[in-house]
Amino acid sequence: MSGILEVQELRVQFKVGGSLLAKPRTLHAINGVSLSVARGEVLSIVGESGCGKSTLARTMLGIETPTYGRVLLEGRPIGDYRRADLAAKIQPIFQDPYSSLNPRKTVHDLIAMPLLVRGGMARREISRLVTDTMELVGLPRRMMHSYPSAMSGGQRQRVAIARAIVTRPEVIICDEPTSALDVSVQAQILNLLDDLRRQLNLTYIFISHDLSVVNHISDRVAVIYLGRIVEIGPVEDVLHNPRHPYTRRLRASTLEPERGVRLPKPVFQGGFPDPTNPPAGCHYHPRCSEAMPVCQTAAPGALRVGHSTVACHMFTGLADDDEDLNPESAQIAAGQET
Amino acid sequence: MAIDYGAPPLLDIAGLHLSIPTSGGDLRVLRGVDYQLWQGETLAVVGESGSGKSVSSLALMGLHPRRASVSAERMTFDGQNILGLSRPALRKLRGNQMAMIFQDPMTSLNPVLTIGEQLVETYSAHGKGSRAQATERAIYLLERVGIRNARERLGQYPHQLSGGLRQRVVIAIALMCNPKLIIADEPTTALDVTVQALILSLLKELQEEFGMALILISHDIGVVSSIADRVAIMYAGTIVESGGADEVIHEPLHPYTRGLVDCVPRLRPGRERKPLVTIPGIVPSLLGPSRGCLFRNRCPKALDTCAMTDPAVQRTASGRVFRCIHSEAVLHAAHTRPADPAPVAAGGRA
Amino acid sequence: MTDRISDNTAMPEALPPSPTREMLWRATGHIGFLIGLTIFLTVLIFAIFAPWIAPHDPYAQDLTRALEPPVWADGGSWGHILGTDNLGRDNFSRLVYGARVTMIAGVGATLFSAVLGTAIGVIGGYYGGRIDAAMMFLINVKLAMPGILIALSLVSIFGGSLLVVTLILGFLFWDRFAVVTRTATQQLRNMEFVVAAEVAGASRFRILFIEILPNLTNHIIVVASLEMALAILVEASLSFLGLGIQPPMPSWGLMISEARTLMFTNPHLIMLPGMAIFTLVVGINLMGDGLRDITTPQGRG
Repeated sequence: MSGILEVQELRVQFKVGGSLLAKPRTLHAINGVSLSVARGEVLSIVGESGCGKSTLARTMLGIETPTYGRVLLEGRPIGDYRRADLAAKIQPIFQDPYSSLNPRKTVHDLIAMPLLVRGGMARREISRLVTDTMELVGLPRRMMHSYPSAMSGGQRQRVAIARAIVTRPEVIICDEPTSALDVSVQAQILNLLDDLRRQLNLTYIFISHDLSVVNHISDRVAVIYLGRIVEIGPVEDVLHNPRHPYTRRLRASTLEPERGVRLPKPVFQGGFPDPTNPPAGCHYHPRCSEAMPVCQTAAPGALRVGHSTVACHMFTGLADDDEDLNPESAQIAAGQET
Repeated sequence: MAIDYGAPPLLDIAGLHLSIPTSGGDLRVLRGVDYQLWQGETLAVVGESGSGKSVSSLALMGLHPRRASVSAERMTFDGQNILGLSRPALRKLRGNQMAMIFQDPMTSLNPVLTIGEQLVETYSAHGKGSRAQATERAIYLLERVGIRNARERLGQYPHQLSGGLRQRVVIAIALMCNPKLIIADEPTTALDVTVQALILSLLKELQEEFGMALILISHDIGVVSSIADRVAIMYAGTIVESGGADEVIHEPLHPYTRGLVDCVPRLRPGRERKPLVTIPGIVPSLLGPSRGCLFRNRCPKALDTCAMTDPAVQRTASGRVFRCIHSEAVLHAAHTRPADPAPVAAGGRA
Repeated sequence: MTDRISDNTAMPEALPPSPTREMLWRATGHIGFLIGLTIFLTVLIFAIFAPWIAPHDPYAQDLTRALEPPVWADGGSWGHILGTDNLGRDNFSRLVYGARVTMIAGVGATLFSAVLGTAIGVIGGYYGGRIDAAMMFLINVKLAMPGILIALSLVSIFGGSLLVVTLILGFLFWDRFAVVTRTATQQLRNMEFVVAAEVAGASRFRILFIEILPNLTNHIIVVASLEMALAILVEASLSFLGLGIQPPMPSWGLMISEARTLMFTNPHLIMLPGMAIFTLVVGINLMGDGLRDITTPQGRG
């Protein structure tokens, strides 16, 4: 299976805290991640703040350079693309529609930006594309010359979406696109994203911390903890039959307006670990209620369980036998050997 | 949990109005808010941005913008009229009998003071006791909110703590003077989900232990349904519906409440990939006076008369209150009709 | 849904007024700003239309009519409304032409320092790291220099032509532009719209000039108005010390200097240009403070 976007054994490290007196420490933002996204698929990446999901997004967009490993778009490393060619194929949508739109530009200029940067298009052609795209995202034509300050949060996010699709890209990286919006607006934007995906045959990498939203929009889910994928698989498995203790914990902590949903029993836990000094063995073991002695020393390999792939020692020996045949688990294993 | 609804309410607000002058005229942010809150009760005030949910609580603590003008028919706290109170008198009440927990623990803690100084400061500022007593209480409360090594933590600065720990410290500060009322404005929105669950359980536990009343301001219906006794839904400066949390969330009467509950995506298996229910249109302008129901241009059940008259405040047999031109029976029947577009997606309503 | 509503117009959408309109509204209500703007514009008009406004040639000497008092004093005449100086030159005309020198020096120096300071600030703020450290070093060196002394020595080397004075003043005042734009650029650099432009493959030029610079104009205008007042004062001081504009060119500072010896016999010769400087500087400061109030949105309701 070769997807439109492939991440292979990716590691991204930053030097932090360096000064004249202190030696910089290494922050392992992404610590061996491999995944593959098929054309037309929605893959969600779930995790808590600081887990590395935004770094992963920035690396896929080519803003962050991998320390090790690579990202392939349509089989070609993204580093080999010309910046503008890459931008024509992969585009971001950001979380905060207030910071993602230049307050000094009109809606037309905001949406036209990727086209203007790329160049080689007549003004009339650009305007036509902008108008078409505005229609696609449900922005009235009369807003063409408005400034973002005169728009609501939902309208701004529509402008941001229009800017992302104006070059008709293949892949869109949505970094928490609805978490700054009101719930009624969130529903509108999620519906719009779903419509656009079908109409334009888009592939989404959807980064979120909200499992309900993820459940609604995605085909597959990857759960990240401290720079590593702990569980990846179809939504039905990962969210509704979670295997990894961390995924279960996330699932239980999600509060829903359903009858009988009550607060989960408080679990006493260590805080979120320091990403410059991650725990040995399985990164999750200090917080894990199921931790075994082996978890403190050895990082778990990726195991195929049902339709999903889980990195947890609990499943050693219980896993399906075909794990070697599954490319994704092999990828995870490769990423986590060291 | 026993809440004595026969007793006089701890907080009683009626006809609260608040407006702010702007270039386009007066921005009427609150347009007649009424609610009551009893000792030991959790009231969730739910709404979207601009609904006035935060301002309504800030106003009762006297923390609204200075240029805003406030009026109310009635505003009493613990039997005391707080409507005409001067800012210094309100300041005395704040922290002492009322405390506030804000969304972002990083900005609500002072970065240049240690945790200990900030805990002790509130206590001694209200003349509750000596520094030694204050320190003892601070350590007790830090332990109580689940912070280990409390004595050592006293000397630490906010930036040395994680987001979850900081919010625990904020809660401990709020508890220092043993307040009767805590107002928590989106207390977990800035936190991760696993931390959110812990903080909410902690708040609930402390509330029962100390017998405080809690106003939880939130946009997250999931959070609200897991913790609130009663819910007030705000839209464009008024409470459109209030009542018992389960009833309001699972059998909403007001069309806005219903839209709000239905448009939340759910975490349940076997999702059919169908579009989410949405509320069409956008929030109306709050400039100047208005006539009629402010939700009418987004309401699936709007009639021509909705533009003419203000919706009547109606009370059901079970004590729910809602503002709508339609009667309870009409709204109820409309919601449970099988042809209704939403019920399957919304679920939870047998 | 909405089609059943008969009076849609009665319920406008909750859109805030456009930022320009909001600013205009705040400007028209800001008395200090209006006073400052009026003073500034008046002096500007005097400067631009000096040849048409001034009744006499400001250089024409007429020793027979030296030291005439202004029209309101005994012996004054409407021929020379503000009287004449010790060389018989018309005071009013010299003040009007002096406004020209003042404005050229003030506006010119401010423009020059704004361009220099903004360039340094934006480059440091955007690139960060070593480049920023270099720019910070420049700013610190500038802040550590005794500006006026260096200006004095430079003028004494190059002579006091209007061009030299303007350039030197420009070099004196760029640091505040640099500090302000650097901080603002650091904030803007992390905004997602800049990241979006980077992802789209925008050139550095495009990011700096089209994405970032327009967002700095408010800051630059506010700093510029305050720096201009300072530049005008320093120009007057230099001219007073004889190191700025050279006679016979009419400059307000120079006029005060020339009238020094006559301070006790003809005090109006000092007071007139003194008042002119004072009024203009107060006006520009009022305008600058007003601009700051107008362009920074206060707590949103």
